Amino acid sequence: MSVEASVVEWSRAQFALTAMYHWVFVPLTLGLSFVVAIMETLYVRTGDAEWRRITRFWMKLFAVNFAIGVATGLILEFEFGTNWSNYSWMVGDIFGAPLAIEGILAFFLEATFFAVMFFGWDRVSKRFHLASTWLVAIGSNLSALWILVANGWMQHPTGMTFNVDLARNEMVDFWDLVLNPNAVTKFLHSVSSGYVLAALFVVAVSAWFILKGRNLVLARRSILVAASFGLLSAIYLVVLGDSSAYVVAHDQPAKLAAMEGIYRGAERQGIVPFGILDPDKELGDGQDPFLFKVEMSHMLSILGFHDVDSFVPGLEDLVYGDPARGIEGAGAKIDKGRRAVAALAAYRDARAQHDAAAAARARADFEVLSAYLGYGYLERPEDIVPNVPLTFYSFHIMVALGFWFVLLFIVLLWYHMTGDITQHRSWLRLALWTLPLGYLAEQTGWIVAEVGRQPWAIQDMLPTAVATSDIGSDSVMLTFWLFAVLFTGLLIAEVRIMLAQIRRHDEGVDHV
Amino acid sequence: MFSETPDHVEPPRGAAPPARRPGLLRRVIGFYADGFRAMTLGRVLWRVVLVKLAILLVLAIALQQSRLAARFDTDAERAAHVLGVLTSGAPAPPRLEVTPCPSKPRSSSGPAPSSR
Repeated sequence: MSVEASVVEWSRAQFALTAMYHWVFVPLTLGLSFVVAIMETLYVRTGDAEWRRITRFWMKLFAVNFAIGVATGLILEFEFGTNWSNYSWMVGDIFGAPLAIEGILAFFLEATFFAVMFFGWDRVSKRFHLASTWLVAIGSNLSALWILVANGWMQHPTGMTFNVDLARNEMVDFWDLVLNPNAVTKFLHSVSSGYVLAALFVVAVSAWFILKGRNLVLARRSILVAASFGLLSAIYLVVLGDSSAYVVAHDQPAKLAAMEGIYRGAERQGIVPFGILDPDKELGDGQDPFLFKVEMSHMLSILGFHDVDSFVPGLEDLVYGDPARGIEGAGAKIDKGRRAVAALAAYRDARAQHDAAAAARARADFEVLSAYLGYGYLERPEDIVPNVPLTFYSFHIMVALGFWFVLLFIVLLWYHMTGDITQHRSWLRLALWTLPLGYLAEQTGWIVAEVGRQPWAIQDMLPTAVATSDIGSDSVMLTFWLFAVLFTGLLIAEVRIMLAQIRRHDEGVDHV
Repeated sequence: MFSETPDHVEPPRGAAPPARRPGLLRRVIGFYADGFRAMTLGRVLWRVVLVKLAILLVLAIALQQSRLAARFDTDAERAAHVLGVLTSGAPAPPRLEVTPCPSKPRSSSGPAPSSR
């Protein structure tokens, strides 16, 4: 295939840009919806009108984020069709169901009860209003589920068969798709990260109020709720790391190797909580990949395979193979992949010539090798290696920040429960400055997920370079900049509106 | 609309009977109408949403032609196009040897990588 390389790179850049912007808005929606629901529950249970005031304040900020972020995901689906038409055709039957369900859930559940949430104060009963708030939270998280089911399938295709006549994957088992371990861990991890971000957001705004000596009742109570919610979510994220590692180790060994900077595999493989990669390291040069590292021995074997003695392959094992350990090298896979492509071409030609016998033979050949089809489009075995520094550092930044968030929530809760949190101004400033770090952790997480799976658009099945449309790079460049301007404008609008609402809020004025 | 007050209240003696409660549909429409009328911050947000959707709609129309759905009339044509992409170019013949890792020692157990 002869798609211009710049089309591929601009298409990737555009999708990355729009996805990253989308992921600025979405996690706050996912988490703040639950924070608001918890606060309103406290209001309904206690009858304390202060909780109602507090709930309505955070609900306002939730509305700002929701409104600015809504439909930013549509652009991503739109890009599937314009820039990734080959990919879109091949996955259409798989993605159709989850995305349709997501749209229906988002539209009917969220949108319906969203209106009750905002218009229904004093118009509906307390219980019905509370139920509506919870349904908005549940609805938005369920929307995320279906999107992540689709993404999980890209990371570990399952529950489908490849239709050679239509050149597309077709779903054969819906529950295989939904219960794909990759999708399940990805969903749990993504929504939990949203809960942590929302907690950081509430804590940061509350910290600012305290530092300014304003809205102290709101700030104290909000920190209590948010820090508790955030701590539980952050601890869950750490625990979930175990199943995430297990899934990645089995489904995407190259991604795991890149995440940990492993070039040569080993038994009792350790993890590297901190390390500095050698920027001159090349595959197969025999040099240590690290200039410096701190290693916890055995841990990656335990996390990845639940067996302290298990072998964790490195990038060189995956590229060059290790027959003794049953690891097929990428070179051998590429050979099989090219035979699969040739068989597919022979099938296409035989059908065009109405030669049923030749078509049957070619189809049989293809089906033996179809698992390697994606490899047939790679040029060199080394092409299976993702960007190691970007994946490694993104992963480690995300994890380090995760542990910092746990510590921050613990300290804030401790100060709240043992004394007057308003006296601990240093920690309040830290809480304020941790908010952008929360967004950084969110973005680095997705960089690990999506850069770490390169060169694959669909793991082992379709490389990114084959997935793009055969369009001119000029149009992709143009839309890249259009989206950059649009999303930057939206982000500026959100920040300005949010800051205005925050600055304007005065709990001394009756907001009930 | 779903308040806890009873639907029917006996009017005091001599007073005119209360107006009949509107039907569910009218109450729902009234609920939304009152809500939209009372919006303050919501008006700003709706403006942002509508501008955003308008821009997306324009882009969708402008870029329609690059989509497979617009370029081809039938699924068969789309499939043929994608199949052509998947099979375009003559695949290289199978290689005779597995590329050895320049620095990786051969496994002490098991056979060496085989040649085709």
